[in-house]
Amino acid sequence: MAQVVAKPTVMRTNLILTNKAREGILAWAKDEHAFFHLQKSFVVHIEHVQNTSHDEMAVTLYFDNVENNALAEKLDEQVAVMNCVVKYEGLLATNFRVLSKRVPVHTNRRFKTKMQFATNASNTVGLPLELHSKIRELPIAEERSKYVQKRISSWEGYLKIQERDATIDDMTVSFSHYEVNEDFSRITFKINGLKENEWKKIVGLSAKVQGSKDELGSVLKAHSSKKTVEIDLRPFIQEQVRKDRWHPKTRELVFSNFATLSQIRRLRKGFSDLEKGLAANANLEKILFEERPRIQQPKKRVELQFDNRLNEFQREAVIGALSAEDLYVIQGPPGTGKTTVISEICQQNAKAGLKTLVASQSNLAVDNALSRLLANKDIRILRYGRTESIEEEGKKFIEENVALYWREQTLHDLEAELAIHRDRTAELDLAIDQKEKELQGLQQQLAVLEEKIAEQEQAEKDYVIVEEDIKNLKKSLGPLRKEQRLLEEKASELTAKKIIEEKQIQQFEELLSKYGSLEKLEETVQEKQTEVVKLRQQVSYLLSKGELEKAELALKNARTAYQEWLENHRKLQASNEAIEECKKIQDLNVFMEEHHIQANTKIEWQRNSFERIKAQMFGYNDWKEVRNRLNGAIGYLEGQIGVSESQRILQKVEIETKNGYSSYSIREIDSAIDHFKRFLLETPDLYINQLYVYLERLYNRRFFVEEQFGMLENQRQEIMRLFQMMKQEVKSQVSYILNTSKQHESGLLNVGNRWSAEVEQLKKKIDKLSEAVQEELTEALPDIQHQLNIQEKELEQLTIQMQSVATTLPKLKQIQDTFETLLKEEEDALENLAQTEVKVKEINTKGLLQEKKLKELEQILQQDLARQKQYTEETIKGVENIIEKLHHDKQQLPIKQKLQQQWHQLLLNASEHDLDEIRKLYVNHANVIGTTCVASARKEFMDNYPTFDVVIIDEVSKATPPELLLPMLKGKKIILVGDHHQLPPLIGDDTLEETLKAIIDESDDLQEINELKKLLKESLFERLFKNLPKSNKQMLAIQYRMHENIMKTIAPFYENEDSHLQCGLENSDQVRDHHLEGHYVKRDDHLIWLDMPSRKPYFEEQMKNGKSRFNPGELDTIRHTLLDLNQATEMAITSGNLPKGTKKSVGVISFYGEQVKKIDHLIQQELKLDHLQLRTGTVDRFQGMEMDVIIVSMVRNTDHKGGDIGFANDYRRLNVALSRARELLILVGSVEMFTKRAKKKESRAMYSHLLEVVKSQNGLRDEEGKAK
Amino acid sequence: MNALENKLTKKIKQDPKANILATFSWCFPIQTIEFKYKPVKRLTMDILMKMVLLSCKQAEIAEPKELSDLLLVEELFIRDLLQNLQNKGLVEKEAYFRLTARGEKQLENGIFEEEQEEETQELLYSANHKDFLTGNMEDLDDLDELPEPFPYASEEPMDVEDEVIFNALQENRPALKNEEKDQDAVQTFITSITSNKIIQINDVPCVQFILYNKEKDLLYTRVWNTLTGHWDETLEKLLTEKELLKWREDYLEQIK
Repeated sequence: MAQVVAKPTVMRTNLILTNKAREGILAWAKDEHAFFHLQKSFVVHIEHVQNTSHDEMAVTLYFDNVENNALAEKLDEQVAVMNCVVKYEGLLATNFRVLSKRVPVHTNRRFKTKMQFATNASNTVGLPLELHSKIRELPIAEERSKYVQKRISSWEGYLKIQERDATIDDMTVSFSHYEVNEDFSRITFKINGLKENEWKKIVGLSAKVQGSKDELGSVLKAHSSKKTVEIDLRPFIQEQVRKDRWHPKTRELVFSNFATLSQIRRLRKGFSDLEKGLAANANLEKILFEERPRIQQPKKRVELQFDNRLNEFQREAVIGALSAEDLYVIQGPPGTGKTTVISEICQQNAKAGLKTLVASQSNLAVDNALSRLLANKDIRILRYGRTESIEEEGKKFIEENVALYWREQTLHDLEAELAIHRDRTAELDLAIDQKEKELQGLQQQLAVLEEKIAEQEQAEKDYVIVEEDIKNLKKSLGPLRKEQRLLEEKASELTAKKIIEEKQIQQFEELLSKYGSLEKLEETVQEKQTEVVKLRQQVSYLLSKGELEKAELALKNARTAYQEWLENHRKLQASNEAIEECKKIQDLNVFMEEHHIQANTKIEWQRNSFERIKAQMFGYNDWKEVRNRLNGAIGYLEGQIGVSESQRILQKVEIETKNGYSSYSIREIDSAIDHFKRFLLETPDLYINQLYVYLERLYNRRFFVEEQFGMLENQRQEIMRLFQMMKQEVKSQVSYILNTSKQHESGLLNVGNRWSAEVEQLKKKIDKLSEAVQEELTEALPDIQHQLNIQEKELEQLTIQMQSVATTLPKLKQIQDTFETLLKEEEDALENLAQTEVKVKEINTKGLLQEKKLKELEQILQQDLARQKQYTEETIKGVENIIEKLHHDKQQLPIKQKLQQQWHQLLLNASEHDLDEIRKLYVNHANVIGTTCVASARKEFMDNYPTFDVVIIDEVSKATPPELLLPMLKGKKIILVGDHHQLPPLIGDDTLEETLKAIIDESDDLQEINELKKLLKESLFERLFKNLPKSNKQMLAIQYRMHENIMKTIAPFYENEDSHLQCGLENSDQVRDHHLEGHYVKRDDHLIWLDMPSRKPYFEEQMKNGKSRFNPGELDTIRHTLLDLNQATEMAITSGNLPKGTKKSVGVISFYGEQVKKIDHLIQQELKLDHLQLRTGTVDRFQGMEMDVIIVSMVRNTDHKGGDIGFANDYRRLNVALSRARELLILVGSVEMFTKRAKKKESRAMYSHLLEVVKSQNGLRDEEGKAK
Repeated sequence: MNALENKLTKKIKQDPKANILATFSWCFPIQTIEFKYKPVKRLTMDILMKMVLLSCKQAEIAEPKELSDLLLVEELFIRDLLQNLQNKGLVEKEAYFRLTARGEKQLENGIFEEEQEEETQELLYSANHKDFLTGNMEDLDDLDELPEPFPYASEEPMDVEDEVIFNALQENRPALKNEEKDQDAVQTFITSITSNKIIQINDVPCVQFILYNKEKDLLYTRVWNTLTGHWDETLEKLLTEKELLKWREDYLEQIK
């Protein structure tokens, strides 16, 4: 594929050197001029470095140690490095040194360019502006490194987990003897010399015999109690042991963790490569560490032709992945065709000439993905890795086998080609025949074209003539048009005049015909006038009558008003005496009210004073009465006692009272008087002296009474005075009213007089009018007024018309004469016009005809016949060439066919050497390379494949971020495929979470705990999938693996995704028919739960010295189920439902390793199941696999409530367990335990839902397979 | 035979967990087949290069694509090879690719096969293994008496691909040592067989142990092949598949 590469421009810059830099260069050349003249220009990688001292930028130049030929030779491929400060006058080199050839020159933070250095001091080159701005755009490398360093430190925890068990030193132990297992795959040593704490650590380490260079294999198990280690033997050693050729030279075993350590080293190197900017995609650090992964938006959606049959989701994923700029994420639930998508992407990449890396965490997944890639010439697959760890499916792609694979492919294609050899001759003859016919046709076409060309030449001549004609016609048309226009104007002018005259005459005649003659018209006017006068009189009469009525009424009113006034006035005059007669204030008030006299302020004030004093005068009459009685009594006593004596007593009392006197109540005085009276009456013999006392007492009281009474009397007089004053005031008020009333009188009289005069006048007027009107008027006034109005208007009009008739009548003849003349003139004008129009039309018709002719000619002229001819001639040439080529092919055919046969033969007999050559070619051009994440960082691989156009990582959720980083570093574009609803990374037999929790529980280091807890929260894949924009991710939602009924068990795990899981099988019952009819399984069963009872032996058990669990009851059920399946398969074969030799693939899986071991034993040692293809394993190890039938042994079952179900709690593990089966899924476990007794609520809910699904398909059975 | 049996028993007993339930001896048949062939000598030249040269010589090839279509080989490979051949001055391009004089010569050396004297070789074929076995039949002559034949003995005719035969013959050729194997050198190849015939059928004695590992409740078998001198995986698998369940019944008493 041709790639457009911009020709690198050479940047020429001035270079100034400090002494220090010069010194560095002097070690390699005689001076700097000589050094920088080694080459015309240098390929350098410029890094922008921090410069703290100035505002100037600083850079470091790395001289490419491969592309600069002369320099590379001089420096022996070491890397020259020059530190510079960027100045306007050029680069100022501050230091120059040469580093090891291992120092990378290219990083994604450096700018690669060609530079030419001017070292002569006198030059004026300066620094190119382009270089200056390029440097400014570069990130400061240290800052980026620090950023990565800071963020990546959060991943340290992953390495810690792996390092946990990795001791640094090798361990050497002695062994006494060893034994090989039944199939020579494992060896067990009895060893000595291992410390207590080391037993755990040696698992997974590699072992070899001291002094031998061959590694035996890795430690599978270590039993500290038995002092034994079990080692998985490498195939090579297995072979040796079988031949009895393996005999240890020493009795010492060395355990070494170099594999683990080198793995950790590679992971760490990944960290530092990212930090140093060695990622193929400079954006990788931002994708990994920004909260919202920063990606470049796809520029456009690519359009593709697919090689595989894809569903909408898969198509979307492929298009998206190919359109994406740097990252694309695909979520693939079980059976949704992830591998098909990966295959398609690889194929599309291959077509585009791109190299793809397919990486995964496990070898199995890599092999799985590669094996399903379509056999296609475009794709050259290479499997990279240690041969012994590669699965059967991947083996054909390893380097030593690719040539065989290629040969097989090529032979296959070649044989297909050879099979159709004979047809090729006929095919070629047919093609030649066709082409010759085509040629004939073309030649005929050419003849026609030539005729046409002659025609065209004639047309060219004609064209000129017609054009001239048209021109002439146009010329003559001008004056005619002008004439026509003038005539038109004249005619229309005359017509307008004529119409006006005609109208006038018509109007006049109409008028005359209406009234006959002028006299008659005059008569009518007169009549109208009389009528109007009469009506006017009538109106006047009626109006006057109305006025009279009004006047009479007014007069009457005036008289009444005067009468009323007079009466009131007189009454008021009379009332003056009445005021004097008022004895009481109430009388006065009544008077004022009667005569409508308003109380003025003065009266109001007097009235108020009166009321106030009156209120104070309470008890006046009582005091007056008591005073009289007292004076009576005193008089009587004075009479009795005599004047002188009385006078003496009085004087005595007067003196006493001067010093103050007592106060008394009226009642007390009364009672004193009564007392005295009673005394007089009751004392028969009265002494005068006795009376003195009484008199004194009475005098005393009289003093007080006089005092009181005097006060009251004063007030009484004040009241009286006020009353008089009020009366006076009222009187003056009355006289004022009378005065004003008198003035009113004359006014009233005047009004009366005026109205009476008016009445007289009107009466006279009416009398006069009534004479004129004579008859009695029946109509109402408004009607008459209305009539009058109409008549007046008519009269007016008639008068105008009459005047008009009078004036026009004499002129009528003259007008009629003018009209006649006009008519004639118009007629003439119109005739002239018509003549001109005919002439114009004639010319136009002629013109149009000519134009049409011209157009026809134009069309003929427009045809690009010359080009058509040229084209036809070229086509003819082309066809002739093809014919020639076909003849050539025909001639070559037997030769080529012979060559192909020869090639076929040679290929069949290819020797080692041949294949080796092909292998080299193949490896050179391999474009899909598969390896595990960690192996992608092996040095050998790094050297051969430093970068890839596209890196696809499968089963992403199963890898830890540091593992993922390794392949990611290599990809310009990265495509992640995974499913976070399936199992996370595994460490040993535990998931990452389980391991992390265990470490956290053990650890006391708070900081470490926090760090690890952070890891628990973050799943890189999940975070990316959730945070990426839609354009950069896709979920595959159609699964093709499971029968729809089986799929229903896992559908809930995907409920919260954008798309729900759908079944892509068109007819599950048909394409996932297992054809089995047995005791446990019926033909239409696809999902069965064999419920284990809650009693021994169906309870879980634990090995004495192991953590893992097993369940003997379930084992027994599985035994019967397997036998049943085997027999049912045999029957299906016998009945012809399954083809002969069919082996049903059956996977027996369990949450627990110990149970798997027991199942293995059962299958290998106790059962002979010829019709089944069996595979066993833990659920975790089965991820990614699929089988026709899956039996899940659930193991957990205890009788106490709140029992733990351990591994089975994780929904992701359950998801994997349920989604392995294509046709039939059989669960073996206690329904009660999982749906009722399990400790965790969520787990109970999860399994209860599963139970519902099973029940809805009538799949619940007891341990013997009877329906429940 | 007894000596061998004793030796093997001793070896097995090194493993204290391996309980020998039974020991048998029997023979499986081995066919000695005599192959007659004429090896050829020619210049080492890989077939793809040879085909490219041949095609350029015989056919009129204008574009690498044509050659790719002809040989059904990736165009990339062809371009690589043609470039390589042009660089070496073996091929040049005018209207069509053509061989230079040097190219002609090279091709001739590569194709020209100097037919050698007919050679004869005997190979040992076991129908039970469907493969040739290597071993010294003469060693078996030392055995005093031969045991019973193997119950699953197969004497079916040879059923392997030619290539397997060529490889086996090539590996066993005594002359191989004399002919050096370096690049561009002339080599001897076996590319066809003139004839093959079974010249005799011998019996290869084997010693079979039926073993039991009590700790793991494991029943298994070991078969010592006296011809090849190793524990024979093929025969062990065959026996396990056929008889494992039977052993469990037969040795029920001993297992318990």
